[in-house]
Amino acid sequence: MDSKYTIETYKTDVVIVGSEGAGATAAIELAKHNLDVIIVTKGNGVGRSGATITGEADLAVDSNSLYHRFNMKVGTDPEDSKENFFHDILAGGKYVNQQDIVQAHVEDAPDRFADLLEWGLKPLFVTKMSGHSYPRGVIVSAPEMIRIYRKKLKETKTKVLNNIFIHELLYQNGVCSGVFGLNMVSGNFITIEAKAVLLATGGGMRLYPITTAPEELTGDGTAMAFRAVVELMDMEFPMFLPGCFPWPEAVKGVNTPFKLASAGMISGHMLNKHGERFMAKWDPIKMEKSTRDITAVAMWTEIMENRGGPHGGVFVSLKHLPDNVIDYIMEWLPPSYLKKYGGFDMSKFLPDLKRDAVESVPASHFFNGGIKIDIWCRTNMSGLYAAGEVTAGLHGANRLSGNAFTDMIVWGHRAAQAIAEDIKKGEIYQTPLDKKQVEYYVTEALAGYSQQGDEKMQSVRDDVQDTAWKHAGIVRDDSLLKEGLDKLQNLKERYKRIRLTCNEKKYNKEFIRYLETKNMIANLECILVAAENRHESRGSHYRKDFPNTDNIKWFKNQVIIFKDGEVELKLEDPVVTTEEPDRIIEKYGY
Amino acid sequence: MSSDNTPMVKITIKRGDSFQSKYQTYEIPLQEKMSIFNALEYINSYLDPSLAFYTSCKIGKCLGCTVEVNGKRRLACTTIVEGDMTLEPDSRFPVVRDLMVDMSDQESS
Ligand SMILES: Cc1cc2nc3c(=O)[nH]c(=O)nc-3n(C[C@H](O)[C@H](O)[C@H](O)COP(=O)(O)OP(=O)(O)OC[C@H]3O[C@@H](n4cnc5c(N)ncnc54)[C@H](O)[C@@H]3O)c2cc1C
Ligand code: FES
Repeated sequence: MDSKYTIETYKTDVVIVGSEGAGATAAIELAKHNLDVIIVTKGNGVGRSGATITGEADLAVDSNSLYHRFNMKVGTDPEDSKENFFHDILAGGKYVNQQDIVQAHVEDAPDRFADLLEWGLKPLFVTKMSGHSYPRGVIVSAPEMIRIYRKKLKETKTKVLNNIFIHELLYQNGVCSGVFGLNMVSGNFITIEAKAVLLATGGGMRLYPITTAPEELTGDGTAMAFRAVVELMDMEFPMFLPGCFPWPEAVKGVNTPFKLASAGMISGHMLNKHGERFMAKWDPIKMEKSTRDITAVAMWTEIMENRGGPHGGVFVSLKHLPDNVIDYIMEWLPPSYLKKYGGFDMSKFLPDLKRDAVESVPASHFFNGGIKIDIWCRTNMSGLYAAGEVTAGLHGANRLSGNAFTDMIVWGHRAAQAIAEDIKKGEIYQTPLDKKQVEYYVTEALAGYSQQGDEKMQSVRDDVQDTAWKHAGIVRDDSLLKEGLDKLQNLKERYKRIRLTCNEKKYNKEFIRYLETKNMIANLECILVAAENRHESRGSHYRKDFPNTDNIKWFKNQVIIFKDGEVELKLEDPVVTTEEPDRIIEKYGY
Repeated sequence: MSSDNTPMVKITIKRGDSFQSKYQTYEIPLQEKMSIFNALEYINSYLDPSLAFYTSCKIGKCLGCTVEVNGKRRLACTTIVEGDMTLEPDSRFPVVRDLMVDMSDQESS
């Protein structure tokens, strides 16, 4: 790259950043309103990026609607209700969910499920998943969902621009006028002017070195919103799945060990390197079948206190079972994941379970926090909307299984309704692009080619991930977090001394990762600051020095805002419509 | 990363685009059960940041990482590196650069 650059320009009514569950749903709905829509995605086509295609996948709908409205009589329970679903979401989120959002969610979920059925989705079966008091997990095939989205986007003639990395919001006086980014294929910059911008960019799991999630999910949506002084919330609650391979490299992040121990299908024992079944210290009754929060904390404690295995995990063992019982493992319910995960033949990666244990580590899996929205996906910036995993409010401190899929279909749709309505009413309209801002973004993006310094991009990126793992991981305390914040300052300085070495224009991964790393640092900062300030443990935020859930002082959300180069935290009361937790201090995780 | 007794493996990659290309060989330490994706990551991260290739899900679901391995179409993320190999871009699509192709016009699934 040199100082000569080209900007590709587009203009549309609505630009949607993200082509998967939330983004595609929004585009399909917007097509009904005669608006010009452009979807941009980092993916090489719809279904080639994002978490949606990786789903396994359960989609949560209240069992009563499944039974009565959808006539699904097998595996469901008509005793369930939207109210029960509402209650479980709050219980799982430890009550810091926004109840107006949860209310809208449980109301809309059956309608959006109906849309998917109308578009051709074939549910496989219904099951009761962790955290739900009724069977609400409709098992669907993620690749089938993607085929449906592709078909609908084609039918609605939605324009999709692939391999586009949106890096910044364009705005003036608190009003959003479009987005700025990089066309990764041509190597040119790109601006898209729009009346409305919808961020549907998913989570930031790739901030962590071990994750179940795809490579490109580097928290870009939250980071660009943060830089544009858009409010974020609940950033201290990234969620980890307790039980993934730390090794071998090819299957790092694959969750088979979780299924062997904790997912309720096969009763593996989790052991530390001394052979202790350490869950006894945390939950002597449910042991490996404890809540995901407690299991993750327990595993992390063993690993960080040096009682893990050579690859950085704890052990999952089946050796308490006789060999001639293990012989039948493929007949246990349901065994398919031992044979196949995604495109992997798992038999190549599992040891002889009669002889050896597998190593297992928690992996970054979901972002509960993100952009603060109201019940119509509006943010505090006029013209800017957000939907899906990039948002905060629905899940509170932790989400229920299957409810992320429901999140993207319900909220993608609500965002589209709000955008259509706001444009029609003239509440939002095209405002001019600030040319100076575009120039500034170009200069900032290209800084890595001109700034003084000898830092290597990859070494900064590696250290950002390492810091996230060690200091913004599952078990936190004051000194870890403060040290993390110090390291963060250093990483920010080092980022400014990165010298990029690759001058290719087309699909320059070093340049792409340089821009992503900036976003990862912004996410890390938000997580560390929020985690440091929250002096209690709740959901996916656990502090060794404040191990209880404090509903007297901390029945609060932390809203993050970026002011004068500093992160500011505002404490807000969660929106309550129906239920409040007892105002007491409780034991963590139950 | 590699100690003296780590076995090495040669990954030869067709670089460039449809107008101009050449083969380049990288020698990398062979880790137990590493995928082609892991090998490409290693090369890009530590040997040659200019290498272009696509990855996303890394579990064989998005089908975006398809490459031709010794002439056969394979997913980079689920194919294990067992010895020396030659990698070329997926010939069904126009090449952007190196192993990165543009899948825009054709949504195969
Ligand atoms: C392995 C795995 C299994 C899961 N299984 C389940 C399950 O069974 N049930 C369930 O409910 N949930 C599950 N989840 C969670 C769920 O898949 C996600 O929360 C959900 O799919 C998010 O949808 P989304 O549309 O918000 O974002 P995503 O599907 O993550 O899509 C994000 C989109 O934004 C694009 N994007 C991101 N940044 C940029 C940028 N800067 N510029 C342009 N485009 C950008 C991406 O390319 C992508 O198109 C799982 C997650 C993982 C990782
Ligand atoms: S990266 Fe998705 S299939 Fe290989």
